[in-house]
Amino acid sequence: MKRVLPWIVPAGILLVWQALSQFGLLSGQVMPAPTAVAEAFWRVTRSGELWRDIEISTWRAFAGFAIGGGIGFALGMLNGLSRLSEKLTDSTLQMVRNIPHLALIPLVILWFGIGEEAKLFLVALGVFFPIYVNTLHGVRSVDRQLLEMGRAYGMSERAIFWRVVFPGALPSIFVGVRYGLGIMWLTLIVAETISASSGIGFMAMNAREFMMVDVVVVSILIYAALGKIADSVARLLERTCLAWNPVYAEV
Amino acid sequence: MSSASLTHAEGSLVDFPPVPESRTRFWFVGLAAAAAWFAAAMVIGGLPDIDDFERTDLLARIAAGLAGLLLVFSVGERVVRFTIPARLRRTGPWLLLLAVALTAWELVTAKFAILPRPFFASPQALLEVFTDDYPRLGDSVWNSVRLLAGGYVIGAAAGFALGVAIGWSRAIGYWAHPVLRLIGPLPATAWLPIAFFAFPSSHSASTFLIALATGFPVTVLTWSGVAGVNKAFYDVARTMGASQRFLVLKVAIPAAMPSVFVGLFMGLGASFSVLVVAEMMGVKSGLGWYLQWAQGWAAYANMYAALLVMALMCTGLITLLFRLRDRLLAWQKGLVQW
Amino acid sequence: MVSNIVAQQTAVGASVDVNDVSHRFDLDGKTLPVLNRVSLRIEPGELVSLLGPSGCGKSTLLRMVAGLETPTVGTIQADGARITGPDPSRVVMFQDPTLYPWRTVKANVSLGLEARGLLRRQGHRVDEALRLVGLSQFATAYPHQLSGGMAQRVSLARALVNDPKLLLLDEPLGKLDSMTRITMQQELVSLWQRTGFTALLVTHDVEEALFMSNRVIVLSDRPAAIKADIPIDLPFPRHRGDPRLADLRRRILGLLGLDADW
Repeated sequence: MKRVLPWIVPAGILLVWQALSQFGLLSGQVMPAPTAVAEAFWRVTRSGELWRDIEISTWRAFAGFAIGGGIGFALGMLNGLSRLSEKLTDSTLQMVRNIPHLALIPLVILWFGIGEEAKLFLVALGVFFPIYVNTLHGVRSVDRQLLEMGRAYGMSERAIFWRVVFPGALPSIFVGVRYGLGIMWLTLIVAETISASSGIGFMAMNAREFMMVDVVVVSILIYAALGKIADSVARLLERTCLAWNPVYAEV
Repeated sequence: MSSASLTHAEGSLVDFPPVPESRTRFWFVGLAAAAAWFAAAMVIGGLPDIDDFERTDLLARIAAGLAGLLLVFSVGERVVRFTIPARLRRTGPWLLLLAVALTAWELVTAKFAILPRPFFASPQALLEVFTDDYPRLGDSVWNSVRLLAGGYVIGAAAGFALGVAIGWSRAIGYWAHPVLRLIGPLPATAWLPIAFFAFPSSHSASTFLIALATGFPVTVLTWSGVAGVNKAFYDVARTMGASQRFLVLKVAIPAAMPSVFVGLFMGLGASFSVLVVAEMMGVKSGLGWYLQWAQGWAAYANMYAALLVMALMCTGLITLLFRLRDRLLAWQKGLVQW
Repeated sequence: MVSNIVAQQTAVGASVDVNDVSHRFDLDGKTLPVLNRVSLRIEPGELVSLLGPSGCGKSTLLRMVAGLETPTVGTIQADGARITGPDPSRVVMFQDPTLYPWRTVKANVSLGLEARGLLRRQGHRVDEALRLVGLSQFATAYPHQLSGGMAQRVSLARALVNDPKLLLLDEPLGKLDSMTRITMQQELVSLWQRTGFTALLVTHDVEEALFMSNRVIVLSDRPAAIKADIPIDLPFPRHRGDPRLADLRRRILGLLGLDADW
């Protein structure tokens, strides 16, 4: 009961919203009623349009994430372990980081056109930085004493990496992953809205052209759901991988 | 720097009268940088361009001017009573590298066109944008900063107030938590289409979106900052007769400030993204719009120039926030490594 | 160490009456009794130690006297008035210095006066308190620049500036190194002798209790009840090698179930 009670507020908002639309106080052109949204959801689901769009958006999201995250992780590890490599690349990367990656959209469109590469590039770029920064930070914050101890026990460099450095950096890497997941959706929405002929962002944009606000709201809700699912999965992974860490040992 | 005392010691060891002018070592890096800039000027001005560029001469002159300045600085220190500012001295290697990079860039674009032509702009083309299109560019920066500042300040203030309220009052936290849980995973950009419907003007819609993008991380981190305050801090103040107001203003908020600043930084990063997108999609002004406009004309040089300006603007704003934090949280120095 | 400029505004110590107090915590629906019918009177100006096994509830009793917690059963009175909440006349010094890291030493000591809006009129007392603990030169330092012992002295100054009638010491020296600890025990005793406040000291260090207090209250395991109330009629300053203290020490260790070691 205690857990259910606070959800009354969102439910109440929903009811008031419905009532306002019902009595014509809220124009359907601005904010469609919840029932209208549900109807639109049913409509696009039945036509099969929605599933196709979800599929393609999810594919783009995770392919981009894998590319950007993979490069970010590799470079973060490399720069964390080698001072020379860090000196060479880190300050350049930090400078580029300050440009919001979404500002590159026009350039990316000119470069790649509106093909899949453009979207993958943008998502990968957006995901790259949080993963890179957090991996680097994670490696750097590994307890020096543990490293010394590993060496004292005669572990090989390889073993030290897999048994000490990587697990030590993992909590920080997960922070990067969860942050990166947020950026992944944020980027994809924009990329699909601006330049795509499929995907949820396109669905929203298309609906906006035809003033179908209910479909716009549906696509926002889908994005929210996808974001939530991705975050929950990351959280679950985090908790299983980091069971040794007292921070995650909650009841 | 202890080099001054070092040379003084040398002066007394070797039996010469100390020479006050030569306090510091000769600035070789400066001289090298001067040479590099001079070389850059020669390459830019001397080699023929592959195409008609209007600002090649100007660029060469700027490079030559820099070379001259650096020469004056590095040699002048010996001749005249004058010390190079330490900051300039430290940027020496960078100035050197910059000259080399510029020369390389010049060679692969304007001189030999090794990089595919329309995709990569030459340095003089970029310079031309700044000399010829600065009113539009300047106007865009001003509009962007204004829009960003409005949304950011509203979002940060609202997020801070909400975060303190949720963190402090169990009751407010209880009711607000699900709402935040619902809104939280939704990226700020997802609101774009609906915001442009719901708000009367694209400017107000964009302000709302920027405020939202800023407000969410600030709320969450203020909240966790306030909730994470050492309970003993409250006990101490309470036994000394502190009121609730004092506990909030003088204990909870200062203790939460480091966390609040993390939220402010995250919010600033997020607000940049939203700003650019909002300008591209709705507001017909600002750097995002400028980029969009340049895309329409396939004006690569303008686009690179705008991106450069944007990088400078974002870096500047982030640096500003860093300064503010270092000033407000000076007590943290040595306590936490940043 | 302690300067000879003694605070002149010292009030007379308060008396404390603990009347048949029992207390329990509710943890996940289970009740955990921590105190069992404790009754105790502390005379004005006494320094009384609470000694007991760790986790027995002695700190809880102290927090109740401070007014930070309310007993489940029974009442506690200070100078005959029932304690219902915290009051600046009863100040706690915790095991951790709990200094606010964002405030300078001086601003930390000012805390109580500032909280009650007295800082402008009585600001000079902050400097006096700092002088009393010998940290005047560190007024502008931040807590992270202090050693453990210095931080605990600031915490003491922060308590003293409120001119307490009752000083509640919750293992204040528990985390200090043994040298600093001995010095601060002496300082606390001489301060108490000169100012006349009542003090309640929670500790798990038998020697500390014997060296510093007029009476030692030995508590039993949880739920804590009073096992013994041992007066220590020895003059201050005491000598750590005093054979009478050694006798008392043996007796108390016996009460705590540690006599086998002797």
